[in-house]
Parts: sequence; structure tokens; C-alpha cells
Amino acid sequence: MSCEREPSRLIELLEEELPVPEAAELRAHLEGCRECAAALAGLKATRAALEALPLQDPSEASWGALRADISRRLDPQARPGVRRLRWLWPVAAVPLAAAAGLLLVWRASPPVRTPAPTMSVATVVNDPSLDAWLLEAPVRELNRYAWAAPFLLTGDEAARELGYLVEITEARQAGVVQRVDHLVGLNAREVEQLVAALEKGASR
Amino acid sequence: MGETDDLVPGLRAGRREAFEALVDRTYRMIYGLAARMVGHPEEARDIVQEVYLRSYQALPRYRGEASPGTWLYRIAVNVCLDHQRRRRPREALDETLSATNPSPLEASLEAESARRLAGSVMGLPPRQKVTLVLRVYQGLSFREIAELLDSPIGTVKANYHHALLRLRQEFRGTPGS
Repeated sequence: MSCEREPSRLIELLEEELPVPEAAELRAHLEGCRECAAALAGLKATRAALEALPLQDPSEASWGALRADISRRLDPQARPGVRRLRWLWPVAAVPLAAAAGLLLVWRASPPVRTPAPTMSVATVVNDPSLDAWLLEAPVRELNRYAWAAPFLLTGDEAARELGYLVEITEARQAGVVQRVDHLVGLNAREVEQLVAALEKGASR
Repeated sequence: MGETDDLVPGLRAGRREAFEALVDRTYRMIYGLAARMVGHPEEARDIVQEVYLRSYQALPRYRGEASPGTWLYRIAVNVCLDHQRRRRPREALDETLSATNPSPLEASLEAESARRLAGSVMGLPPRQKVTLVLRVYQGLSFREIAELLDSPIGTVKANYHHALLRLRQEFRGTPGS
């Protein structure tokens, strides 16, 4: 802008956060400054377009489900998914050892980058499909799942890179990979929670 | 940020029922913030749950200096910004902010323009985006935003200004704008 007026004043005028005298003075300026008037018109149009952007509100049923999920997540005792996983850890013992070797191989290989969705621990372990998956999965798939576990122990970044590991070892069998992809989106605290819950289950 | 001051005594005492009342009064608003920030309903739902889990865990440290609404909003903003830092680019365009099924309406120039604007909002730097969302969609004043973000009010205005200018420049080139 060639006009020397501070452009942020236009924002304050637009947002009605300018004191009345200053607003009046700036409006008077706008009548004679086509450049500032055009800039303000552009900002107004952009703001109006932003306000008009739709946001798809959840249905009433979804609101209810979200509200229930919040309360459920506040109460660790109401997370049956974690308890259901406990029996898995004896199965995991051997693959855990094998995983250390795989990790070394993987570290030496260029990872294939894939986007990883985020999902909370609560969502993963409370997923109703988890039961069906555990019941139906062959041992080979269980091993893959357990083989993923040590990487969770190494923290947030390594956990996310599980997705790449799955990719390069061609383990893209839908159920397992989907679940691993979900796990790789966990943050460090969620990983700690999950590992603590699983270790607690394994010790019983 | 909603009427929540009456919950202060219960929250300070760490009572679960007071916290549940806070959830009842705020969770749709927090969802709105999260959905505008991440542009994806499932991620927004996860963020909402994370916000209440973190705030419940932080409840023993709540002393009532800020209103419960402000305290909760601050946590929500932090969770959203954390999420932005951790997130990888999504392949799909934001489902929350635009219809996913092609329709005659979506095929129109206006719908295309809105879709591109929504995409541009998602591409803003996190601090600019959160400032924009809090101002445009949550109706907070610059002073309230400065308090939430723990930033000087001048910085907040500058972030908002840069965000609007950037969107204006991108929006100007789209059909229907």
C-alpha cells in the first residue's frame, strides 16, 4: 500500500474495536483514499465468506454419543476395552523378542512415508470391532499386533512411524494395519497410558 | 465463553458433578472450536475428549482465578495447537467444513470457492488459525484471545490481520470470489 496509514487500523475498524473518535477519523479518510477503501472492502468480503463457511454439526444422536464418550473417558474403570486386552500379552511374549531384531533391520532401511490418522486410546480400545477382530484374527495377525508393541514403548515419534514399518514389511492386511495406523497417531502421554494399562494387564 | 462462574465452588472442591455440569454447558462449543481448527469430525471428537480428560486431570490445580469457561478454553486451545503440531497433512479435504458428496450445489462456483477457502483456512499457521477461529467463529474479543493465548494484544491483532490478508490474497484468485 502506498497509503502510509497503519493497515491494522482497518482490521480494528472492521472488527469494531476502534474507539469511536478514531473510527470516525478513519472513515473520513476512507472517503478520500480509494486504496484504503478497496483494502477494507476486500477484508470485509473475506470475513463475510469465512462466516458463511458451513460447519456440519453432528446429529443429536452424535452429540449424545460424544457426551457419553466424554464421561466414559473420565472414568478409567469404565474402559472395558483395556481389560479385554490383558489376555493378549502372554501371546505377545515371543513376538516381542522378535520385534527387537525387526527394529534394527528397519532402522537401517529407508522408511516409506504414509500419512497417519490420529485416534485416542479410548477410541482404539473401546472400539466394538476390537472384540470381533481379536476373536477372528489368526495367530499370524496377533503376532503382528504384538510385534508392534515395543515401538509403542519408544515414544511418540517411533509410535507414529509404526505405519511406515507396516508399509515396508508389506503387512497391509486390513484389520491389523488399520488398528496399527490408529495406534501410530497417539501422542506420548496416550502411549504411556496404553502401555501402562497393557503392562498392568500382563502382570496379572 | 458461557456462564460457568456458579460452578467455581464445586470445581475448586474437585466435585465430579460440577465438572459434569461444566461439560454439559461447554462441550458443543469446544467441539465447534476443534472442528474449525482441524476440519475433520472424527479428529474433532477426539480433541474434545482429550480436552475434558486433561482438564479433569488438572482440576486439583484449579484455583478459580479464571472463570471455568476461560480455564477450559485455554486448555482446549492448547490441545488444538498440540494437535496441529503433531498432525501430518491429510489427504482428504476437510469433511467437517465442506460437503463430501458431490452435488449440484457443490458443483457451483460458490461451493467451489467456499471449499477452497476452507482449505486455505486449514493451511494457515496454527497461531493465525486459532486466532481467526476464536474471533470469527467463537466471537471472542482480541483482549479475550490475548488472555487465552497468553500473548500481547498487538500480537493477536497482527496474527488476525496476517490471516485475513493471506486468505484474501488466496480467495481473490478463486472463482466466485
